Amino acid sequence: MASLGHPDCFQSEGALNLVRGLLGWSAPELARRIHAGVAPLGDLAVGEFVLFTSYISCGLALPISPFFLLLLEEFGL
Amino acid sequence: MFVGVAPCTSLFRYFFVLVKSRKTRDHIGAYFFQTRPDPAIVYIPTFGAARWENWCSDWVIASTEANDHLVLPSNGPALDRKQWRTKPSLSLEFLPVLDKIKVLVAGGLTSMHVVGDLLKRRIMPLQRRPRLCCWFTGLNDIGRIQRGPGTDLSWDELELLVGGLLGRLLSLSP
Repeated sequence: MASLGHPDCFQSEGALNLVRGLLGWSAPELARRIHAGVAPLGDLAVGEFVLFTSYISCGLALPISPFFLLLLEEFGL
Repeated sequence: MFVGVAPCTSLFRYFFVLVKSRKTRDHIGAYFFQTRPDPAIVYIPTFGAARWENWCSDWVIASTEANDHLVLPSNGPALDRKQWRTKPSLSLEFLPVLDKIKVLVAGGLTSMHVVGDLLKRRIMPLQRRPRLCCWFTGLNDIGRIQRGPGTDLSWDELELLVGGLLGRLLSLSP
């Protein structure tokens, strides 16, 4: 994480709307949960995490499927 | 979705193995699932390595409710490393499933088609939902992350998202 650089993508509202749309978080109360990253290290509020867009395609935007949790459990992760 | 069977860990482990990523000074380390390197196993072709090139600059900040799975683990998998690659023996009832996958691969199905289809149908992979993807009913399907008219992604949005996720241009023609 120490090498995490400034993001090139998802800095405009239009680009952030793509992420919100992908998550289905377009309603105002959910949309504000996704915002552009500036300085994530040591600057995250409680309940915030850095979301890589590839994580979205893995379903890591909550809630996670019981199957994926079962898989993690099977490997002891 | 394409095969139409409920998720099953033994079937998953037949096709995928757990892998530890190379650890550099700045990275904590990571584990991921990779297609089993066995030429005898036929599976849907996956993405090229190019998709990972820009991962460090491709992120946003999200706020969610607390969840145990967002806590950074301090230890690796509890399962012994030798068991990560152990191939499960599948019972005979899985043979039609393996045959179906072979037919889909022979027909030109790739992971890009799978991702494109999930995005187009607004279904999130590996996210909890009440029904199997293969039972998808349309715009108001209960498994969609957004339902109703106007919630479909436009072709431009779909193209951009697939390109961003896979590092390549969208082409849904096999």
